[in-house]
Amino acid sequence: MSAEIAVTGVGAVSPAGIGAQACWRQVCLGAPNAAVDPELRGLRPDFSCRVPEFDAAARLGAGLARRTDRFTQFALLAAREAVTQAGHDPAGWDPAGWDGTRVAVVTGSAFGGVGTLVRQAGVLAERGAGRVSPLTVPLVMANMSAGQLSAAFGARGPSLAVATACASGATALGVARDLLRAGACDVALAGGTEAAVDRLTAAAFARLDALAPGHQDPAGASRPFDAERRGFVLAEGAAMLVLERLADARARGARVLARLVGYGAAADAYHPTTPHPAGLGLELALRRALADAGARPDEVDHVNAHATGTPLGDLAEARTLHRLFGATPVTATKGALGHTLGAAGAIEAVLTVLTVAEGLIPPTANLVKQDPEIELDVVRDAPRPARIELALSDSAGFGGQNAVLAFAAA
Amino acid sequence: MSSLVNPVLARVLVSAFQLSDDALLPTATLEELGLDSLAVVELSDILAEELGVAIVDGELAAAASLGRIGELLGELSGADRDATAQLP
Repeated sequence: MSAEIAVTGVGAVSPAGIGAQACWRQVCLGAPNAAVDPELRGLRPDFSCRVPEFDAAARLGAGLARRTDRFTQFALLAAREAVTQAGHDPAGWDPAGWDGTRVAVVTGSAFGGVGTLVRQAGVLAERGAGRVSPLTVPLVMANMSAGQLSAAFGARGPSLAVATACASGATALGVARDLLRAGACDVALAGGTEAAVDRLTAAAFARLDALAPGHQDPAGASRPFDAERRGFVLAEGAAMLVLERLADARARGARVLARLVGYGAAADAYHPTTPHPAGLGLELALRRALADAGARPDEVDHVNAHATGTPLGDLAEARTLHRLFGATPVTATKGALGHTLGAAGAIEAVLTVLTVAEGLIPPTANLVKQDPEIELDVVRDAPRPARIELALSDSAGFGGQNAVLAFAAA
Repeated sequence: MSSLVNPVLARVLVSAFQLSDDALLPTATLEELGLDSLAVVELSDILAEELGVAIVDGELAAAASLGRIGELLGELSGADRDATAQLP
């Protein structure tokens, strides 16, 4: 089955706050929100992009909040927003309106419940095995974001979690798309989530020399495509999308935000942490997404780049994008939001859907002096109005795993 | 009535497990109150933390009712106090 797939709902929890619109506004303002993080005190760097004022108990109830790690909590909230927007009324989820057996859940995360794992390792070391929380396992497991979403929404279709590091969110959407095309479900809740800003991950990424040092200016640290880029800024968040076959969405009168017309995945088969210098895997994934969409490179109107702000990664990606798409306008939203790791592909999918729907390309925050070796038309300073029929969002993860989504106007 | 139940136990059941105060009868069992096996271990952890006592795995689940759990908590707290009192 090669049915067309519609996006009928989007939801996000991001460093801009709760809600896809909050995320969109922040990115359109080009306003970076990295700030000193008290939990990272004494580390270098000691700043991050946190989801601000997140009270899980107030939003999910104390019971569910206690039984879920922060990465699952983000996914639950983002999914709730997406499902509501799609017009699947949460209050009316009876079998008549919501056939849960036909609803799939696919989530992506790089780290799963690493925050809980680190805290409980501390409990074990300081207080002994008898004080380790019995909830440790169900909170930490990477598939729990999908399992808890299935339970929360009565979704009894296929439920699974994928891991392709920082491409996880995009991979999840691609896999969900495949489940819909295969007829394994009628509705899919899919996206990515990450809550891995803690002392251990921050220290570990710093040891890899992957993080921007920032010096006296945390807000200016995440600067994709800029000549002064030095690495990424750790961030957290989630985004979930509601996907369904276009014919089904139209039949039930749902508003279609955009169509997911292509997905391509490929591996660098090169190195665990360094992207292939010629973008071999990325180019393959881009070409596969285009072939899947039945489009030529010159038909691409916009690319939402992965661009995390690392010197090597941005350059390899920029060369690949330039080779394929020439002067097509590109944006890099991690300048504003930081790098949400496994959530990034899904957050950027949401932003690409909104870019297509609004006809507006958000700027790249912190782009002051573009690296002369990067020949792309990178949108900067202010949102650029554009008529966009076809847009790509590419993602790449440690492990050399690349995933590309192609969205078309509704 | 929860006034007949150990006050810490009652408070935890209301605040952490969202149970109604009215449901907390001394004869009620954790199972009747809807706590699954995972929730019973959670309850055990929370009570151990709040009261500063050691509760052996399975002890709460084995106690037949809220009344009996209250007695158990009383005994454990008393035992801890005695142990502390004997310190030089």
